[in-house]
Amino acid sequence: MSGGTQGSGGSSAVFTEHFVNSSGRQIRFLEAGRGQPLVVLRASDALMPSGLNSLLAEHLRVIVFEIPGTGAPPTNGPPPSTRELARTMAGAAAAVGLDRYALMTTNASAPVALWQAIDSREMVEALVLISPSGVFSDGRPGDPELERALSGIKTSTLLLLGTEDDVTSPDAGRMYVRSIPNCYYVLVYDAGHAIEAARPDALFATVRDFLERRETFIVNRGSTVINP
Amino acid sequence: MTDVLDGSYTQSPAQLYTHGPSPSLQGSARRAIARKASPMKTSFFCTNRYLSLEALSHDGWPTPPALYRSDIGLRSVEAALAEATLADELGFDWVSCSEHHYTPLLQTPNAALFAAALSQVVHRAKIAVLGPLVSMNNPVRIAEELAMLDQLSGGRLVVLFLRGTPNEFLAYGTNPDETRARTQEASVLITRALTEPHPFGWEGRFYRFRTVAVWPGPIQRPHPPMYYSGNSIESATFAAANHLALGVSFYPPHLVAHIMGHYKQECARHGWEPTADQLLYRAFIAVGEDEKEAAALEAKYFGGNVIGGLFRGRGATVPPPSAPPMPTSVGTDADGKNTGADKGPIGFGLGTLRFCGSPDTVVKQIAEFHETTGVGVIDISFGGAGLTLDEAMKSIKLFGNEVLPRIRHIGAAVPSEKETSAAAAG
Repeated sequence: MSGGTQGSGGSSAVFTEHFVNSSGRQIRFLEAGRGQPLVVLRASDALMPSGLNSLLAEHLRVIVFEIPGTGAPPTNGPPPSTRELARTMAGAAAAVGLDRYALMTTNASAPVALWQAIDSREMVEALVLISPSGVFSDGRPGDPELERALSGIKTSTLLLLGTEDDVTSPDAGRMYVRSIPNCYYVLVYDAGHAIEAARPDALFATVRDFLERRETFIVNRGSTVINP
Repeated sequence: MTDVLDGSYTQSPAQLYTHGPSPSLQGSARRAIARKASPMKTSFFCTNRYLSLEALSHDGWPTPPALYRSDIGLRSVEAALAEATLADELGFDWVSCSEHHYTPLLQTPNAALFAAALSQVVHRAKIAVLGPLVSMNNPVRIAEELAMLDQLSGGRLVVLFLRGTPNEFLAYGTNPDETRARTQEASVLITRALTEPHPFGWEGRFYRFRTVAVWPGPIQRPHPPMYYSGNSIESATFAAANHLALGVSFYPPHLVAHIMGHYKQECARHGWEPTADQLLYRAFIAVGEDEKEAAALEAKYFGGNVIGGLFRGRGATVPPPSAPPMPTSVGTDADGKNTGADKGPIGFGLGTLRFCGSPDTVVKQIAEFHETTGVGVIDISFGGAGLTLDEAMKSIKLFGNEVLPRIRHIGAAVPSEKETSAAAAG
């Protein structure tokens, strides 16, 4: 176990590094915060705590798992299928002691999270997809099997897409919405594919609200009283 | 049938000019020729001005509601609808209206409401809302209104997103410093609200909506033609990047040409080319039987600088921005900066009668304006505050009967035999 890593984005959260075994693989993860658990799936080149994860760790227990395939540790072996990876990540979450959790991911890690939400539906109680890619053919190879299986996602899902995203097209975004039954689709204005880089406060506000209030996040509970 | 934004016409291009291509030419060939042939369109700007110089002459904005008389108000709106009907009968391509607040000069604080009334008395011309003040209003509400208008008009709506003038930011308590950014965000949101097939949320800088699902939808798909107010280089840049047509108001020709030139360069940078009917200009106009009559109209047209009153009184109190916006290099910004550049007596190019004269003179002026600027739509107001209703109506009729038929061809290229043959072959 290594020492703690200070969170970013102005947060005081300190992430500590750990390892857990699942499906015969050693999975690396970072953890910070207390409260309702949020599992975040990241590729290893993005495993440093992001600003968003750091801010969320001030309100939730955030566990950032490295999806095996690249990076440490070197004993991970040949890459499994996306669905197998999803089972491995679900096993890692269980090994950490999580019965139910919210699941969040970005970009090309989306297929792993989606399979996890399908196959481990009793454990995933909310799903957050930020600029998802890799499912629908959008100028790049898609995943037809996963495409067909998306209707099996029963959990509330928040999907965020930047209005200037030039990786995941608006049409692809709409296909996610059409395919996932209980999907809340939010456009983040003036953000490209890297929403967190362009509009970190907007992203944090929306994700936090959804994770805390789930479907009721569509109800404005903010006071509009100017002078009582 | 409706015109599509890219300049192609669903009506036969042969109807557009005297010697046109064969109607037997198919789709892309006809569109290729039609794209080059973009005849001048004329829009009648229906202002619904209050027909009393007493109220119009009140110096300063806002005009006290105490000066409003119900009988004059009723007569004014009846006259406005009569003008619109006349314009439709005379052959104007569009009838337009615009949102303005707290002034008898333009009694249309809700442009959508007025446009709805126009849609029921104007049966042929397009209904052009030029436009809602999107910096000050709920963008989702605007989207809903536009969809309804397109439905009510049978698919004839055209819209232009306006920012507003400094005095009007006071009407709803909008922070003037934020209006440019609000206008930009609102324009993008309105477009998405009219085109997204599924309910969606919006997390903007100024607007947050968690559930947007506009019903009815527009009749025109993917949406009605959309223009953006481009009285600054910054706005023209935004319009080009967001594939919006451009409207400029009241500036002199050299400034309009400068802005349109920049706009076209930016469009090219973003991979598209606007057609002439995506370049719009709003202006004041007066047509007399002869030069002498026109000169008399010009002398009284603005009723002693009534328009200038919009920027006096409380209208002059838009404070200097706490964080100065990027300075505009062209014309008068809606923040009131740089008032000298457009050479207008008031700023914003206002107070100048751009087209004025006998029918022959006005034809020549419009042709020259098109030659200088490339503008393909002129949105013209005949209702100067100093004119009587009869004077304005006579001016409208003179224009409709003796100018309009002679300017339609402006901008319409007659293809050569070689071009027609090449298009047919290809």
